[in-house]
Amino acid sequence: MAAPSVSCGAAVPYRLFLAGRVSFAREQGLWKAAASGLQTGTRCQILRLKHSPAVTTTKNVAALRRESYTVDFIKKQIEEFNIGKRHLANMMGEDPETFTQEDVDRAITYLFPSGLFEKRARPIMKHPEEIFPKQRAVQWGEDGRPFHFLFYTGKQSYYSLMHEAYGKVLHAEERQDQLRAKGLFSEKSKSKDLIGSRWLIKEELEEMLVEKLSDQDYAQFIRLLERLSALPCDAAEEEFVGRFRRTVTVQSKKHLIEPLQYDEQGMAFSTGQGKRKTANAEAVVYGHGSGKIEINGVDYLLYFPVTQDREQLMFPFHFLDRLGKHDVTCTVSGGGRSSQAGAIRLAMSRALCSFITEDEVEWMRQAGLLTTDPRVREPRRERIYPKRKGGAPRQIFWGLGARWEVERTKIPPQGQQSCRAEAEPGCGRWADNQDEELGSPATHRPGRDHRCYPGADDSSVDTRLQIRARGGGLTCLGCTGRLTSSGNRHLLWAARSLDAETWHVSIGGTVHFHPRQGAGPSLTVTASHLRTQQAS
Amino acid sequence: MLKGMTRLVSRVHKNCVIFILEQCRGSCTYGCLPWKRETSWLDPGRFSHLGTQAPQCPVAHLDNQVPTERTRAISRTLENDPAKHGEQHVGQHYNISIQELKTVFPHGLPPRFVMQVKTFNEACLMVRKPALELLHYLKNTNFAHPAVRYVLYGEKGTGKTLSLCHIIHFCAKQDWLILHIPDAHLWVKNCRDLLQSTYNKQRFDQPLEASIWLKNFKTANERFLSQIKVQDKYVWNKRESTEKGSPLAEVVEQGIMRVRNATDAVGIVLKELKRQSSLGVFRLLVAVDGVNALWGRTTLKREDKSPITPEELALIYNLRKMVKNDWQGGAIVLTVSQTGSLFKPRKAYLPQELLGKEGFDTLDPFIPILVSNYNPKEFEGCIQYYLENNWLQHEKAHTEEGKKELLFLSNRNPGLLERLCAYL
Repeated sequence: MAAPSVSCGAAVPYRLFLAGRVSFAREQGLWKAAASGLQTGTRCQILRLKHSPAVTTTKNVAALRRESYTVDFIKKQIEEFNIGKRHLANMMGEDPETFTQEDVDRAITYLFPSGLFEKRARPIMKHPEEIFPKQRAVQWGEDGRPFHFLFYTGKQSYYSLMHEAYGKVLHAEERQDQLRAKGLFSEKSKSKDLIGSRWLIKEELEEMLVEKLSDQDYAQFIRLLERLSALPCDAAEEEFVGRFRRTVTVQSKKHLIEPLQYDEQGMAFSTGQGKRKTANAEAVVYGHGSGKIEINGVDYLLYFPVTQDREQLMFPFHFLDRLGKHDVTCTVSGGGRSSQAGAIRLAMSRALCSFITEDEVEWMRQAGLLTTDPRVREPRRERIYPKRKGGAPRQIFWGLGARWEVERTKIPPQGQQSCRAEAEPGCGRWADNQDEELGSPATHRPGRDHRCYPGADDSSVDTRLQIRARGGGLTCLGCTGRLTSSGNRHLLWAARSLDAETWHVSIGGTVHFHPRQGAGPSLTVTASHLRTQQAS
Repeated sequence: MLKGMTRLVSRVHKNCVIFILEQCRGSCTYGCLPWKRETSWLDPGRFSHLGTQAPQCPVAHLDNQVPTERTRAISRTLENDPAKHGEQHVGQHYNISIQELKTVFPHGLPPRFVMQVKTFNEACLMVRKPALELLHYLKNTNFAHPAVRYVLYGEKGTGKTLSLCHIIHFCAKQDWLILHIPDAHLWVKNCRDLLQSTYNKQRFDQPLEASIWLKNFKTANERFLSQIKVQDKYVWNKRESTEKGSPLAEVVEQGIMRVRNATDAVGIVLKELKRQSSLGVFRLLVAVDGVNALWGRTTLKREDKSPITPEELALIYNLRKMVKNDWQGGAIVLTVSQTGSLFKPRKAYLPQELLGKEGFDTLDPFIPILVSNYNPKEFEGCIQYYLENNWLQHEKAHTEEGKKELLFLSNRNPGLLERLCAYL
């Protein structure tokens, strides 16, 4: 697994990186910047690149020249992809001949598990056609003369398509006139072609033509196509129109209606299940009843003291005018009050479908009674770092106001167990401890308010102070000197008590205190939660 | 929802006054009265009234708010004496005059009911089965036997307190002496001033609550207080005392005037009444709402923040003696309720759950009477009552679908129905 696997391995990371930035040609510059960085570095450099401002600011994009992929490059990518697919199949123990794209996706999620919330940021391995945005081949020859006669309109594919469509329209009209002249004209309905399908949307058309269109262009084109489809056409023209239509599945046909079931007494009943947020409900609706609803063995009045929840339960019955005609028994778990009510409502509506006509099912679907509510609780990241307009990044600082815990580690010379003493920062005896311990490294008194671990050896040569921030600390990476914001008072306090003149914070959250000349050893402070986040 | 209009038309058709309807609709749509407000003239009962005057335009009659016989037959009865209420009156409201209300119920009516009385300018109570059952028992009590205890229990909002008020009204009409504690829960929580009892150092006094109760008691039983004579001498302090043989009114006055002694006055009143009702001079009705407070927990604390148990409160201690069935000549009607109770789960409504072991053992034996939600007839009666008083202003409220919606949302619970209708 020499070169091909390497390329596969290398192919994956930058496809990984690209996943968020696919689809339009204007993003190419960004990709190129990333690619040039990537070809030199390893994976951790990719992560580095994410943090560096060069990638996230927009002004660098304009500065770079637009690069385009050559046809050879794309061909090479396709070859690499295919070989990589075969290797992946071998890795997974599957047959390379019958390795489909779904298998590829499954294999990649297995081999590169990712917990990223943004699905587009996760590793993917797809055909280069899907990844690299479609590019136009060079439009002119060596002498500079363009190939297409409409090149100088600027939108050659669009205008040529319009030209073609209009030609077909004229042709169809001519044929229609001929038929009329012969008297063989008959009205043919074309509606059967148009039902169940829709026109291409503007983005899809742009993708097809690899060209940007304006809204008016698009509208014009659709009008022309509609005009064409209104005329009697032959098979070639229908096929031409069909290229610009996509099918639309009719929603309600997907919904299966359960048949009624009968229990021992002969009473008709039907079950349904429903979900809302994290609540799951199952409802059994009986055909004849007095409108009693029982939830988890409790009457619905007691289970839902809030009127709003009972109104939710009432909605399906009220909609179908069947209040007081059915008895319901349901079980529900999970979620809160409101989501349980929503889940039960959905379950009851689904169960009711067995009792009513098709039309009523369609009305229910249009009313939204049969649709699972897709809203879920936002992941924590979205709540803390909401998306901002313009894509401007925002600096986030974690955990203002730390509670610093002073941990003194005596480094024993031969790797014996060290004695650790912990003291509250505000205890006031800190300075005393420090003097004692720095001056005389051999002594520590168990009676003072620090804990000593057993087995400690008193003879130590070096003293290193470690100040740990608990609950997060705030600082600005790369800053030196005096910082006066309140979040840094801990650093200030620490510096003052350590008699440090300056301090320096480095990436990774280590603070180095530099004392005055000859005052004592230089001290290193690690704060485990010190970091700066850049939000995109 | 889909077939509403067809239903209305079919109802009209039954009464054969489509002609009238068309005429009215033609004239009234842009006319004086917004016809959505006039729920009454669309009722089926109306048409019999209008039908006799077919040739005239009935617009003028729409001004009248007089409910017709048919709706009144559902929701109201003219029988205002509770003694004469029977099975046929179930679901119907009977009227209590305002003066009677002031004398019989100076306290004890639920606050929402008081608001409703003020709004409608009349006090109407619904006759219901549990109350009728209790009335039947009371009419057949043998006063020579020890007092029987009846406990009204049920879920929240089903009408226990109002059934109790119905019983009290009956007993007042029958000239019983009413000892009504409106809400025992009020005596075990939120008491600002707790004094050490003058009578017994171990217990605590609640002067405010006691004095308020004494005032209301006096209003309710004015005529008895002068008749009943005290059988012991009570010394209040160095200067004041009540001699033997003086009327009970003096004790009550003393309690009202000297708030410090109010709790002791209450204790004396209870003791005397219990003693003398056995003699047969008068019949005593002890009515306590929320009797589970007597055996629960309190939220009151001493100065050293230790909690006080109910028996350390003098009022509760004396009341417990009252509720024991060791006296004759009357009856004890009690209610257990979760609303206002302390440290009891929301869904608890059975006497065993609410009273606890101690309370249940003390009250045992008693006759439990379940008060449940409205049955369909009562529900209909309640809705009609609201419609008559123009309380339901929503245009759909008088229709069948509206009624079904209300039925579903409230599940025929009287309290909930009242709260729902307040928004319409």
